[in-house]
Amino acid sequence: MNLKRRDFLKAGSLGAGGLMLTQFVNQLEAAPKAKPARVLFFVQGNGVYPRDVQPAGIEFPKTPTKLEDRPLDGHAMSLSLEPLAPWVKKMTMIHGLSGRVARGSHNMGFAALGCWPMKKKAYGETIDAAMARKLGGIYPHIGLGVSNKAMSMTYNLTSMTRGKALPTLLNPVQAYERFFAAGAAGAARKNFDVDTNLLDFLADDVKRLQKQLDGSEREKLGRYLEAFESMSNRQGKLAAMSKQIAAAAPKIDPKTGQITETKTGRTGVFERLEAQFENAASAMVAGLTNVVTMSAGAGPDRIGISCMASELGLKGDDGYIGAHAIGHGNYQQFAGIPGPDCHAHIRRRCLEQLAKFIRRLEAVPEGDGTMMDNTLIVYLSDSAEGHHPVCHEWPFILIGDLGGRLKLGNRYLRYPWYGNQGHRTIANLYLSLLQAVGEQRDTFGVADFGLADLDQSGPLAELVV
Amino acid sequence: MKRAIFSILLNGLALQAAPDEAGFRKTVVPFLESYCLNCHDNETQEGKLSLEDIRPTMTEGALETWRLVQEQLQFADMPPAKKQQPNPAERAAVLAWIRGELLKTQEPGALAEEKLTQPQFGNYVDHAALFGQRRSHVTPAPPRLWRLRPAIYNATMPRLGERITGLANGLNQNDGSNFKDFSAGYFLDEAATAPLLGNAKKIAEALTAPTSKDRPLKVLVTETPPTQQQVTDGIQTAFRKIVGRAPTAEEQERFGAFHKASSNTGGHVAGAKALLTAILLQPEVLYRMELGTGEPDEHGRVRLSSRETAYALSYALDDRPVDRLLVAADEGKLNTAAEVAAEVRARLADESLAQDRNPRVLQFFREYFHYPFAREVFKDAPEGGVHRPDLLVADLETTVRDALRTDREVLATLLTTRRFYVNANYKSVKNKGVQLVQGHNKWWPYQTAFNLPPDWRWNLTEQPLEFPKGERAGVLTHPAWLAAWSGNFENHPVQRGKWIRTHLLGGTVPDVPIGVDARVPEAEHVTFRNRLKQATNAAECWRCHRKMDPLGVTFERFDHYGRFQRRDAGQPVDTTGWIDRTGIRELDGTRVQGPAELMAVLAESPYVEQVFVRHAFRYFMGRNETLGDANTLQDAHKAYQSSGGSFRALVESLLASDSFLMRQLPQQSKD
Repeated sequence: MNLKRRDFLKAGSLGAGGLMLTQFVNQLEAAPKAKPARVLFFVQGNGVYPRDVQPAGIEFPKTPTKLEDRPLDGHAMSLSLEPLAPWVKKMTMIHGLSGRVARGSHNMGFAALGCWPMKKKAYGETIDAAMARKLGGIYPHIGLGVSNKAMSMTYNLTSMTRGKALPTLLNPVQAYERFFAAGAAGAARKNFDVDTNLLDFLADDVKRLQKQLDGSEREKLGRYLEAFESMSNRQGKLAAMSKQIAAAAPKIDPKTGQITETKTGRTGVFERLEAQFENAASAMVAGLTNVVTMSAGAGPDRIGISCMASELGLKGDDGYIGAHAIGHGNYQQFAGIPGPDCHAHIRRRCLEQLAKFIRRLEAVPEGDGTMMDNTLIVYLSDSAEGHHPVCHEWPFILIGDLGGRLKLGNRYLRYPWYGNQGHRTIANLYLSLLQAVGEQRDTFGVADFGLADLDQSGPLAELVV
Repeated sequence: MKRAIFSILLNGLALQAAPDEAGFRKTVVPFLESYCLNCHDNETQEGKLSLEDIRPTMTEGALETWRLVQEQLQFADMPPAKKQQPNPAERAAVLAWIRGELLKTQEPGALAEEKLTQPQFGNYVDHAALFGQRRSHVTPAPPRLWRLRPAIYNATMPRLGERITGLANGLNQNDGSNFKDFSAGYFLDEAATAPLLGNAKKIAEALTAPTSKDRPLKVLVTETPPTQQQVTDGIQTAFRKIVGRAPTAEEQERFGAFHKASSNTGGHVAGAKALLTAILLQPEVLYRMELGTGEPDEHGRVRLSSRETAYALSYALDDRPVDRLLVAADEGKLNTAAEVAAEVRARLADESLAQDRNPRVLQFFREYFHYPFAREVFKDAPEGGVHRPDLLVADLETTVRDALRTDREVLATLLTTRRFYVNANYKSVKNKGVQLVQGHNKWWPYQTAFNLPPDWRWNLTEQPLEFPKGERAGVLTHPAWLAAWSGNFENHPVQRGKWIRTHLLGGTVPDVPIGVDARVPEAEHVTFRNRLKQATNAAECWRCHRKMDPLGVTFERFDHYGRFQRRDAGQPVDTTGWIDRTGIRELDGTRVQGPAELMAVLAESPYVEQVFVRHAFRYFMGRNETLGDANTLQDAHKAYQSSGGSFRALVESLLASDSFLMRQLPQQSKD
């Protein structure tokens, strides 16, 4: 945009008089900008149990045959959702969507956001990547997350196209260094400039070798060259934005970058998640990205989040609460409470961090309101409705309405149960998101063969504005 | 395109890359019109197939259609029995035309579809042509770059900086049951490069830290800016350490200038780190270079340089450079095939119990049989038992290690052995070296996976246990393999059959069509075999399932935990199966009573051995074979046979072959 505008001005000054030029500039300034749109996908590992998130006073039929659509406010939130209670008027809870085509055993990985058989891995474009493609940005998509494993990154949720998975950065300090260096002062900023030199030098270097090759080998190296060129190009853009990056950058405690795999001491996993949410919010505030996928122990590397009982504020014996163990029903107790309740506490701690993210965006004015007004949060589990999901039901909690692009807020929606007339799948929800940002499509991912007699196409009519 | 034409002129068959359109018009079109288009025209499209507009080229989807037509004609599936039949000569003529055209796509350098470079499509190359006539010479692959596999990166990078930890994983590796390290499969894109850049910075930090042992690098970051000479020394040291060679004069100058420019921007400390980072990200560091060097021979081939050979051999056998090979390269002892063979032979001589001197050898069997995947298939514990895939995998590996140490009839042994370990592995014991010991002390009731009774007692002297004839026969009847090739709740005869079809019979099976709901119906009191039949016996399913199910159902002899079973869903188990549609005379039409008999038949077949050799070729070359590799495959098979089934002899033959040691230069077309 900047570049175009500069070219435009240059052309104007060459072709026409000063007066004309001012007119052009005025016109440019006055042109209505498209309203911003941002999405945060928050993917919780280990399931979001439908009964655990059910608001008080709304009945929970086993296999409903009719659509339920009613206001949410006036119903107390369950323990795990309490941190989100202040936003009940912005919240939409959707029950009854299925995702049978994914069918994994502990986690659906890419399939959760992609709607295809889980075993197909990065089979196509996931919804977060699709939204990123539509919404653009210096970093079209940022994947952040936490895991109990001492990994710094993983590829397990998002894919751009078939076989092209996008990373989830699991170390908040590394993520911070990656996204906010341009805004740093002193040595850190100098390092940023040295990096720019470095990337140009390397691009040049790769070109040199490329000349010796041909065919597919040349192409292979071409990808490496593109990488340096594109990173170098981005450096230029980041340098131009350094002030706004500096203003928005979070303060991350370097200690949160030390990830240790332990079953006997604090895992620090919630502090890391908090830091990652700060990174996410800062990246959005600084204008670096419009789409973030946040993973709380999602994906096949790990089954959800494990932690110590004390990290959940639970009294009693402080012991290790293993995410796998708590998934196996009521027969086992941890810190004096049954496994599923531990999981509710874990989700609650995660949503506390999400609440901080929302407050941060609410504090930044945008247009007539705040950044949060133009943001949508999509909360789900990559393990659908349970630890061993069957995916007949895949609960979603949405906050915000994407700047009025979707009919969302203060709503409890329950779709007819799997197989009944009017039943919808998570693909239909994703199609609604795509339609809201201007991409009309009939299908997303792979259809559920078990629902061949039902119409699985198009967005959820109830959400369309 | 130019290259394709040239290399085809080079080989002995004198084929043309251009499709034989005259033959198509003369032989194929009339045939299609007489016998096929009645049902397979644009209007009727029986079975959703129209042949009306098919082109005589083997690209872009037409390849699969022609392969389908070939198969239908070869096994006389089409035209349907009630329709008018072509006479054998007509059928043969069309088959000859199709095969001739398919062979063109299998020539080295031929413009084939990209998917044909992936390991799962290796069997597309004509087996009879590979093991038939000898060619005048081997036509190897063109010069190539091969991105380091993660194991190499992870083994070599931390050692640069005093065992640096916490490097990001930037190199992806494909999941799935195919060979992982294929040169065509990997490249570095932005998603990979960003973490590698981070890693390089981290290593550069360590190389210049006070703890670093590399003085010439440390002096670059002291308070006073380094002198010109110190920078020169630093570049020398860094190149030797990171790239493994001295910089050229041109490089010396270029990197020196870069250091200067970076120092001007960010100070000499940042400049030094940028210099090291740039060296760490050189394509030569992250890619294995196999470009070849010297004058091309009369066929336009060049030899890998001795350094390239040393690295190629190192990474074929290990995940790090092998010092001995690098020394041999420097001493000029890797210049001939015989010298390479001698080095490989010395390296492969490994009498250790654990057989861990050449980790890539054991890794081949892991990837070929894909049994470690048992760990990824979640199962609840069976009633009265326990499912311990980690122990199963370790136990099976004890057997594989034995077979590698003995190195006699390795494939046949692995396909038929009845001697399996139960919770017994080779481990290093304090002061005693590696010994066979109990794998895990909390194992009970793990033994039930092998149908051993609850009161069975572990005893070292009994290991390995010999299981009754007919109960177990080879890797494919081991619970680890069975669990790896099973579902969460059930057996997976289709996948098992597919494995045999592709990995032992050298056949191909198309991907599951995306619109297919691959689900076996639920039904009480019906055996899994019969439920599977309900799902796959429709004609359009059976067309592919006939290649897999008759092989895979023999393993209904076991439940999905790998336990021997006589009854399934209360019914007696039917484990009969058959081999057909292979085109292998000695095998087609064989009926078997169960898995043990099936494995015995397969283990005796020289054809199966050849298919195994083809898989070993792919794994060690990191690419699919082409017809240009025919001699290499024939030699390797001969080496295996004449050595009494020595896997070492097979590997030695492959690594000393022209396919491994030479590269075909791209040539200018003569026109």
